[in-house]
Amino acid sequence: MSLREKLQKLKENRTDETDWEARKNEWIGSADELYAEIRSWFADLEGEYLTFSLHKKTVEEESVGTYQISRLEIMFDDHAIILDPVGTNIVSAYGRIDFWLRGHKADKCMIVRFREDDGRYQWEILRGGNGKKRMKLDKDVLENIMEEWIDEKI
Amino acid sequence: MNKNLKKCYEDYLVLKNICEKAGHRAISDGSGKYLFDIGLPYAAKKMGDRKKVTEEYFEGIQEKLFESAFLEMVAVFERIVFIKLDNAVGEAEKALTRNYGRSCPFHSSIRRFVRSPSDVNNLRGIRDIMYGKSNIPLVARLTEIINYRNRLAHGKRFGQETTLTLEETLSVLDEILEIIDGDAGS
Repeated sequence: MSLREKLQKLKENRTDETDWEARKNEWIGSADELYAEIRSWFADLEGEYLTFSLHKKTVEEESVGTYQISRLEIMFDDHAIILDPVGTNIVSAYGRIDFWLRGHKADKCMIVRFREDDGRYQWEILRGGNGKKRMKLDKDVLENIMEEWIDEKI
Repeated sequence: MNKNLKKCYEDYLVLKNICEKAGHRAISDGSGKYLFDIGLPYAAKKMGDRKKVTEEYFEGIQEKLFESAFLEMVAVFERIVFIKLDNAVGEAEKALTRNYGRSCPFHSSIRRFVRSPSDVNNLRGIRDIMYGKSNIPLVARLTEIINYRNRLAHGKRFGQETTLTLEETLSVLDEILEIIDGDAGS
């Protein structure tokens, strides 16, 4: 086997090369899906109490490049809850969206996308502190955090 | 807990609280005078939603506070570790000189078997000396801290974002210092 053939074989056998373009597109789509899901959780409050608003932001990440992705604001009274995508090239994760009550970014939670052993993705919410609390993201968890913020910060 | 690392964290909490209170006051002060008093850059400008602009401004400051506190904490850790490294090299040389007999191989050059502090010029070097290629969770967290520090120090031009909190960073760095000191005692 010549050197070229050996190098070709090595290249073909590499399984850890990431298709960053595909990952970027998948990530952008996953954020939109998450926002749609969150909006559906609070459909009964939309209009009367909550207003959902999407804005485009530019993100630049190593390996991924520069791209546009949506940011969600959930407005109520003169307050807002922000869901702001940080990126997909995250240590130990496939995506991170920061979540905070506007004006209180220091107390933000991180919504992080992990991949399970079976290849499926799952969103989890990480709350600060040491040994971080980590919970599967669902309507109840999000609601509890929002209620806490309303009680403690407004 | 190491008191210098703890102080970094406590100072951050104080500044975070000051920032939060200033933000509340800036929003609740109907006259706008407070914005001038604290020198907010947009204090005299026209704006549609004063509350939103004020909140977003303070968010930016909160983010800067976190990043500064993180960098400071790692810098303090680095300072402590390298002082301990110098001491460790000195003690290792003495121990070798004292206990390595003339009849043993390489006796005349045995001191050169001990690394010089200049061989280890950054935290990655410290990590490698302590753990080599080990992949235990603590080492992975330390690597994450070093990488994120480098990312911040270079204006976020490269590297990955993390899910690190300041509390976790404090805990990891403190645990490593305990291990360094514990090794010395054993």
